[in-house]
Amino acid sequence: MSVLTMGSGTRRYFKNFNWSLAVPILIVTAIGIVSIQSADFHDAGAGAEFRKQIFYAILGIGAMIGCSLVDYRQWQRLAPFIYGFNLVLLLIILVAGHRALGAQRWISLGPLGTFQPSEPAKLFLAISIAAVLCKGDYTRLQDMWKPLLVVAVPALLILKQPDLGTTLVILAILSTQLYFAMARVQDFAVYAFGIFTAAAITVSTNVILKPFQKARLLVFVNPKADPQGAGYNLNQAKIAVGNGEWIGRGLHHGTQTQLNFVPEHSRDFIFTVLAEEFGFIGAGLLVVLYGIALYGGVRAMLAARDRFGFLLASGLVAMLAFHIAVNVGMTIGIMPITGIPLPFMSYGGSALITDFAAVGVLLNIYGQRDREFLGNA
Amino acid sequence: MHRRTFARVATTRAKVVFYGWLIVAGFLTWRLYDVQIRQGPVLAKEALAQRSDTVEVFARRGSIFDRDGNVLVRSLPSESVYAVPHDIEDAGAAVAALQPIVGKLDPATLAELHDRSLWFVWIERKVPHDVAQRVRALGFTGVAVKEEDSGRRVDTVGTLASTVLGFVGTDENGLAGIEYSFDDWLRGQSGETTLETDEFGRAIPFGRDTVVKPAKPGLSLQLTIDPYLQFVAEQALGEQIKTWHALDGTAIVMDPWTGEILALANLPDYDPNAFWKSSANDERDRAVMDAYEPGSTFKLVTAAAALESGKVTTRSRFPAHDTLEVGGHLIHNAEDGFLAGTGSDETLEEIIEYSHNVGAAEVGMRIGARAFYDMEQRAGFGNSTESGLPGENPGIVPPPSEWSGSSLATMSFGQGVSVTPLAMTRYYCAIANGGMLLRPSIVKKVLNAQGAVAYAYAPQIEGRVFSKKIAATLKSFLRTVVVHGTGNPSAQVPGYTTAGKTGTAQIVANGVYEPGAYVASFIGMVPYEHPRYVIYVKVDRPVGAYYGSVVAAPAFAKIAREAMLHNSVLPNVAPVAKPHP
Repeated sequence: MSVLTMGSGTRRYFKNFNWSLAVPILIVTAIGIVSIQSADFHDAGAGAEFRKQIFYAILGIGAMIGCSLVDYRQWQRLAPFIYGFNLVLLLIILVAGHRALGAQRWISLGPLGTFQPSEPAKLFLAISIAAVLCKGDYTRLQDMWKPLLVVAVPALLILKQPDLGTTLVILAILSTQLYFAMARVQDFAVYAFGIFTAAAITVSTNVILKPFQKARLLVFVNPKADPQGAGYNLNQAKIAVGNGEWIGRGLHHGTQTQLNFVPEHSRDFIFTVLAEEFGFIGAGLLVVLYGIALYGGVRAMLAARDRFGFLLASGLVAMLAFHIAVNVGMTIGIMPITGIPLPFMSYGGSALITDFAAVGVLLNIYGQRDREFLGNA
Repeated sequence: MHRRTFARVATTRAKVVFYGWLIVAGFLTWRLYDVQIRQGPVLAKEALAQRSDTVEVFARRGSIFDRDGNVLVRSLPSESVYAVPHDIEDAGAAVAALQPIVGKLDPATLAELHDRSLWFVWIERKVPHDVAQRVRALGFTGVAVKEEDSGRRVDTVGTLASTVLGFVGTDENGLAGIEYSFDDWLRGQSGETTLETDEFGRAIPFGRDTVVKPAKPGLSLQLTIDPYLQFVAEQALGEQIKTWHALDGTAIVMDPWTGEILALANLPDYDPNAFWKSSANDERDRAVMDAYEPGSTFKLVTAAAALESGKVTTRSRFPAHDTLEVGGHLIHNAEDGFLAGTGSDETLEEIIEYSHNVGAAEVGMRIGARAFYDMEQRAGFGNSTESGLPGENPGIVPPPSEWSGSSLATMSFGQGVSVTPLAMTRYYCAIANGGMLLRPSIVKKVLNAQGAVAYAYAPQIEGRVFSKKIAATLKSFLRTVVVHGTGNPSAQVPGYTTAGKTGTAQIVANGVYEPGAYVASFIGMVPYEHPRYVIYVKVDRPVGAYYGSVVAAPAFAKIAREAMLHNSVLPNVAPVAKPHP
C-alpha cells in the first residue's frame, strides 16, 4: 500500500481539495503576518518576529501540503510511536527545558530558535486518542479509562510546565472525541459531570492550580478589582479592542498596542492589534474567516471514510475552534486569560506549524471522500 | 455517503456541537460589537487618558541685569545627553565614543549604561551647545540629546559680584544670593502640557501635544549694581587683602541719596557657573551675613547721640586721659597709635579726629544709656536693613537693661555691639545725606519678559536719625579725620575732597578678644561737600598692620577716585597761576 495518495493524479487531489478550509486559513496567516509587523513596529528589534513568522509560515504551508499527501490512516498505525515520541519530548522539557517568563516550555534549537513541544502535543494526542477510541466499541462507561489514562500522563506533564492553556486545549480535544465516540450519550454525560466537578475543585482550592494561575483565570469575572495586577492584561486588551471602534485606528496607529500597554501583543494578544487598528470591520472579518475554515473542518469530519478519520477530524476541529473562541474571548473579557495563541495569527513557529499540519491532516481526510467507505474499523 | 453508520450516530451529536459553536460564535460577535461599537467611544477616551501625561513645563527663568541694563546672569535653552541602555547594542563602544565629548563618566552611570533592562539614564545634564552637537553627530543608537524645559544658567560676568548674585541648582532653583531671595519672581510660573506617552511615560513621535496652561516666564531684575564700581571695589579690596595677607574682606559703595547699593564686594568669592567647586565660605555675602564689632567707626553714633541729647555741644570739652577705669574695666586710648597733643582736654571733634576711646567713653557716660540706646535704635542697628539680600544678620544691640557697668563706656567706641557692614554703610549715608535713614536697595527695577517695567523701586526713607544740622556737624568731623586725624593721609584723594572714619577692632572669638586678630575698616564719602558715594571697606585679620588707616583706607581712596572719574568728575587740581602775557 502506497503511503502517498498522489498516484491517482493531481487532478483528483484538486477535485477533492477542501478549499473552504485552506483558503481562509491562508488569508488569516497573511493577516497575522501583517499584524505582527505592526505589533513590533516601535519595538527595538522591529521586524525580527515578522521575518521569522514568514519563514515559519512557509515551513507550515510545507507541513500542510505534506500532511495532505499522507494517508491519514498511517497515523492510526503509527499512533503508539507518535504517543511515545510525544512523551519523550515532554520529558526532555521537564529535564532540560528552557525557562522563559516563569515557565519551562521550550527546547532550544540553536540558531533555529526555540521549539515548544506542547504545541505538537495537541496534534499528537488528537491522533493517539482517536486511535485508542477505535479499539473497542465503547458501549460501556468503564471503557473510558483507556483514553483517560492516555491523556492523563502527557496532560499532567504539560500542566507541570506550567501550561494551563494547552492542558485545557487537550481537554477540549478529548471531550469532543469522547462525545462522538461514546455509544451512549449518558456515558458522556457522566464524563462531563466529572469534568465540572474537577473544575469546581480547581477553582475553589489551590490543589491543582498555582494561585497566580487561578487569579489570572478568574480575573475576567471582575477585572477592575485588580487593574494593576491580574486584571491589567485584561483591562488593557479590552481598552485596545474598544479603541478600534468601527474602522480602527489604521495600520501602525493602534496606540494602545503599539505603545506596549497591551502585553505580548505579537503573541497571545495579537487579536488586539487587529481589532485596534482595523476596528470592528477587521475583527469581524477575521471571525468570519475562522467560521468558514471551521465549516471546512466540519465538512472534512463528515466526509471521513472511517471512525478514526471522523474522530481525528472532530478532535482537530475542536482544537482550532477552542483556540479561537478562548483567545478572542479573553481579549474582550468573556473568557479567562489562559495564555493560548490565536491560530495562524499569533507569533510562534511551533504553534503555526502544528496548526498547519492539523489542517493538512483534515485536507487529507476530506481528500479521500470519494474513496470506499471503511466503516467502524 | 450517508450510509456511514458511525456518521449516522454522529450527525445528531454533530448538530448539537454545531449549534453550540454557532451560539459561541454569535456571542463572540455580539460581544465584539459591544466592546468596539457600543463601549468603543468610552474605551477610546480611556485609551487617550492612559497614554496622555500632563507634564510641568518650566518657565524660562528671568535674567539679572546691572543698573545699565547689561546682562549679568541669564538662562539659555539647555540640552542634556541621555541614553536608553535597552537600545544600546555595545555599551563599551558607547562609552568609548561618549567620554571624549562629555568627559569621564562616573561609575554609577557606567554601570547603568551596561544594564539593558533600563530605559532611561542621564549621561550629562545641561551641556553646552557644541557638546550637544557633537553627541548628535555621533548618531549612536540609544544615545540622544534632549532639550530640557528648564534652562542652563549662565553668569556672564564670572566671579564679579558673585556673592551678591548667588547661583542656581540643576533645575534652576535659586540656592543663594539674589537668585535665592528673588527666586519666586525670577522663576516664573510653570505651565502644563499634555503629551501622548507610552507605558513608560515617554513622549511618542506621532502624539499630539496640548498646552493646557502656558508657562509664564520669570521676571527679570535690573540691579542697582554698577559693574565698573563693582570691579573697582573688588580690585581695591583684593589688593589690600593681598598686601596684608588678610583672610577676607568687604567693600560697599552706596548712593547716600537713594540707598542704592552700587557695588558690594566680598572676598574670597567664587564662580557661580561652577559653584560646586567652591566652599560655602567663599559663597558668603559677608556684607549682610556677618555681624562684627565695629570699633571706632561706631564713635559717630556716640557723637550723634551726644549732639542730639543737647548735653554736649561742639564746644564741650572732655578731659584727655590715656586710660580710664570704668566698672572694673580699664579702657586704653592707644588704639589708633597716636595721641592728640592738644592739652589736658579735648572737644568731641578732636575725640573723633584722633579716635580717642577714653574720650568717647566719657562722652557716652555724660549723655547716659537712654540717649545712646535711642540713637542706636534710630539708626536701625539691631534690625535687618531689609535690603532684600538673603540671610541678613540683624546684629546684636542689647538694650540698657542687659548692660554691665562698663557697657555704656565700651559701646561708645564700638565694643559690645555687633552690626553688619551694610548697616554701618547705611548709617554713614545718613550722615552724608542730612540725617535720613534709607532702606538699602539692590534691585532697581523688575522687568517682565517683554522688557517692560513691572515694578520700579523708589528710594525708601525709614526715618530721620538726626537733624540736618547734626548731620552737617558729623560730616565736618569726618572731614577733619581725613585732613588732620587718623585718615591723614591714607584716606585723602588728590583733587577730591573726602571724609571718613577709621576703625580698628579686635575680633571676638568664643567670648574673648582674640589676641592679634583685628578688623580694620574705613567708612567714608566723596566728595565732602555733597557726597555722591559712601564707601565702606573692611579687611579681616590683616597680618603686619591692623590700623584701619593703614589696611582699609587706601582701598577707600582708590575706590573714591575711580568712582569720581567714572562719574565724569575731574580732579580739582589747584589752579596754576599762568603768567599774563
